[in-house]
Amino acid sequence: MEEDGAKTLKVRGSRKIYIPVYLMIIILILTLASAKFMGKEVNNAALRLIVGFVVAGFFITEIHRFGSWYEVNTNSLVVSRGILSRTTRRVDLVSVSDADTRQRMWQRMLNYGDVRARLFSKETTVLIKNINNPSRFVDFLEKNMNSKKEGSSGGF
Amino acid sequence: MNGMEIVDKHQKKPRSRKFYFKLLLFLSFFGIFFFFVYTSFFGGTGLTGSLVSTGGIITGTTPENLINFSAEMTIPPMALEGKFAKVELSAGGNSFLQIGDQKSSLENFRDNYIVLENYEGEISFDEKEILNLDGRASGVTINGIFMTPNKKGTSRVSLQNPLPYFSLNIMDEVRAKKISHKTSGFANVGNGKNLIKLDNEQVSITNFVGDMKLAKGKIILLGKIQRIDVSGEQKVYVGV
Repeated sequence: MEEDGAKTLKVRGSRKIYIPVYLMIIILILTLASAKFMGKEVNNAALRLIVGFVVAGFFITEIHRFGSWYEVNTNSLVVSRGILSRTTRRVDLVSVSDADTRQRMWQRMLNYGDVRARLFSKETTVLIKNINNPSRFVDFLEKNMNSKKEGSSGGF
Repeated sequence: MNGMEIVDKHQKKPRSRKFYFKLLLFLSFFGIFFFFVYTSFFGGTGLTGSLVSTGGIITGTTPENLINFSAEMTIPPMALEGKFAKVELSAGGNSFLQIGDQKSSLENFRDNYIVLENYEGEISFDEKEILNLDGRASGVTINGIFMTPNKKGTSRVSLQNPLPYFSLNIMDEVRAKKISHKTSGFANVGNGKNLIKLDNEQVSITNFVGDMKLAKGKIILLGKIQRIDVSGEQKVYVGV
């Protein structure tokens, strides 16, 4: 999470969702290390496959993670998705009615989850998926929503 | 009944791309894991390589029904990859042999005698030079001096620059799926039953298993093959 002077909060998806991939990588590395330690012959093709899997595992997860980001600033909630072709949705904070968090058991244990921001105008929801510390994100969103609404209500 | 649509409540929802990606990921992981465990802990053979491989003869052929073979020919540029019980090398030149974390210069003597025990890795060479040597060996001696640490395991061995050589013996054993080059010399197939004289002809040897010796610009192959094809003035092939 990046906070810019407590007025903007920018987050990306949590790396915790890739734990199964990291576990696979660890299992492969441990198996390779135990084979080396026990003095077993390591097949070249198998070694290359393991190295390929490890590199691809890290590379693909990082690309996937960098594919989307979410930002709350003083005016809007910004949701951006895509790597090569990018879709950025900018929702005015005035049009956000409320927000909630959704965490499954293991997500609560690891402190990450989804945030759903509902809009007044339509029966739609802006989904912010798999971010670290979602309750903090919601608090920040509500704080900026309230500031924005207070600022815009004194017009008449 | 016009305008009515019959909906099958039990119709399955199409699976998403995410599902197939996860399935592919798990299958890749388990495939690699079991392949590694099988080849490393249960002595399974590896996949065959491009030119030469560590294991595997073409399906349907076993070393028992290969033909005895020996040949003496001019040396083609070659790249071998596999596990060899012993590699003997007589060479000297402006190069270094990296053994583990120590570097041994090979230019002090004109002719260094290098022995690699239980070498596993790559060796590529042409008529004059060892072009690449990169692998692991359980023991390395240079001019009779043991260079590897006296402990169980293997050490990384690699050559820094191409090294001119006088002789190279690779023993027990070279497995080559295909050796194909234009050469001169002779080939003896089936314990003297077929003697083939080669005069700058294209020779293609399939599934060679045996020892390889290189010296004085000649390569000597001694082992077994599945078949040999010679394309010159006349086309000749001998095989099982």
